[in-house]
Amino acid sequence: MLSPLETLHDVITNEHFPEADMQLRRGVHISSEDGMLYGYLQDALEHLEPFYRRFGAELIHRSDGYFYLLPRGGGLRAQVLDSAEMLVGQVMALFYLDPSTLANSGAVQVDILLEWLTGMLGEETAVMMLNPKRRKYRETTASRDARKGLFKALRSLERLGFLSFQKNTETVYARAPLMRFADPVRDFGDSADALRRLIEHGEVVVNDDDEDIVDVRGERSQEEE
Amino acid sequence: MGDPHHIVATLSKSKASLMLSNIDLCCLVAVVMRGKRESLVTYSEELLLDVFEQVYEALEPGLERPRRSASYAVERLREQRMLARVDGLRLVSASEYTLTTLATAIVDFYLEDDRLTQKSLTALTKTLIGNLTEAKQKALRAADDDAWQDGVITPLDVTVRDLIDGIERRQRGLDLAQEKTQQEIASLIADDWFDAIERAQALLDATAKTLQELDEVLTRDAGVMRALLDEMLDEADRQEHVLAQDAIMRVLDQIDRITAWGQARQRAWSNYYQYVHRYLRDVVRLDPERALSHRLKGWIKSATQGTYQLVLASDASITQMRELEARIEKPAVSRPYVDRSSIEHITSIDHHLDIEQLVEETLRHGATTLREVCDEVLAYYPPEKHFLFVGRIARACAAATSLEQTHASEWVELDVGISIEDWSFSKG
Repeated sequence: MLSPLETLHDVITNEHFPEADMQLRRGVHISSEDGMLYGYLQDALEHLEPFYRRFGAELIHRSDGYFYLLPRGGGLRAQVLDSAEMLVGQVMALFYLDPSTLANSGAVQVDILLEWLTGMLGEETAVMMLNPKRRKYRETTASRDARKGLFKALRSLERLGFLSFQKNTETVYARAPLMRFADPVRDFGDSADALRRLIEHGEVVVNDDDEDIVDVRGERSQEEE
Repeated sequence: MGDPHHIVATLSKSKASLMLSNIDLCCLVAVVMRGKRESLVTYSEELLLDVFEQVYEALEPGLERPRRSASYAVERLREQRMLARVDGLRLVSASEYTLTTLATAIVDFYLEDDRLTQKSLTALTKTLIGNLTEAKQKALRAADDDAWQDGVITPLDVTVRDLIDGIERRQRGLDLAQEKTQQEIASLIADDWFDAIERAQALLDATAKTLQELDEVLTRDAGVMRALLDEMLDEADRQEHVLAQDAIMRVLDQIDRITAWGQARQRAWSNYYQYVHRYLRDVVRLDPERALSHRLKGWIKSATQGTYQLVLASDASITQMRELEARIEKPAVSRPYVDRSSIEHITSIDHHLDIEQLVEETLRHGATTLREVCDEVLAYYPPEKHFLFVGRIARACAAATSLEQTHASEWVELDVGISIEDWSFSKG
């Protein structure tokens, strides 16, 4: 039986601390699907909030049922998602909200996701958005490029805890942290105002330059290096 | 059951296939219902054609010759092995047909609500326990092969196995019903959104309650069944009755399977329950107008995506802390111990001094040629050193004496088998 987390010492010496701390610092979202780790963070929240504040970061617990660490310009490095990851994250959030996904406990086939993307945006736009570094659209390889870009984005989102792949399949499970992608439209006021508030809060940045996961202070993140 | 590869290969070779149109299925169901109503064992061709014709008239009202279509349907169902003639082929008589097990299985799938309920499970497990108790008593009294066969093996292989098959079939039926419930919940929410919360919750709770009850019955009764089978197995082991042991083990495996089903389904439903519950709480209740999806879809469609990016932490460099442990004293680096006394030639590690001394001694004792000195000195050294040491002996001789000959010396072979150019010298 675990000891109660009454002091910061209890929190840090707990067996779950190293794993939770490393994941949070990597930008991973820890949700109720993560079981014990999520339970640990719930119990330790009171002590971990001031702990991470000293590192210039905020430990955020959303009512949707997940935790993440938000850098606040202190010593903790930050990264931003690229346009492909943003697009796929938003579409997955849409699937998460769709009642038809409920029947499969949040499971979505990658092919259906791709079909949806190309159907809604058109194949050329979808291919170019899923492959942000690509300068030219090639019709002959469009289908392959779209899949490749989609999988790259999905894997990246999986690493960050937004979704999970079913082992050895092309099925992804939508997870609660995907609701972060719906933040600008969650308040039923003006989306632009909501976006401005998110920028002020440090949740998002507006960046026209489309570079891969890049430290917001201009340094490349270790993950990409 | 046989080798699956062999079975698949045989099926492929025989080109076995199944094609059943909707109207053929309706004809089958209609004839089964007629048979049940009139307690028919076989069906005359006349009756089949009448029933099928009625189906065609009901489903395809404009059809010109429904009787002929009914006749074709009988042929198709025979080709699909749904109907079998039982009147003795090639005999001139009115045809009689019966439904094959394939046809009855298909019709049962659509007609019967064959799902596992607490009532049906309790009835089945009670009967099972009764049968197993009887088999156990016979096992304890069994004195010969016939007693084992009639009292234990046959009841286990037939009656008990059929009863467990009945539970498994109903478990599959409940799996299907669960899938339908999941689709029903999704449809309810898709159609009525906020107003569907209560009904969706009720469906979730009802299925969860059913699964919990079934698991309780299975866990409780499976324990009793296992205890009875264990007693039988002990007796079979004692009498070393291999056939009985196998039959008991087969039933034990089946019981393990039906028990595992209960636990697995309850776990799976629990995950689904939590997922839907969270969805109802976080998505439906917080968005009663169901506007979020529309707004998000509009947001994605517009060109705004790319203008903002989510910010995440990115420091992965913290080192995972190890558990505290006492400082370990590292031993000093050293060579492994070797018992050098066992190596015979180790005494001549510093051969230089020995050679000088030996050469001087040999010369003092009157040696006058290099060959004599070499033969004398090399005798003290192992063979692998001989070639190497000849040069050193020559150098020691040159230092201690002066050469006498002026012409080219002759080549001679030493005792150790090495040829050298021989020198004659006198002490310098």
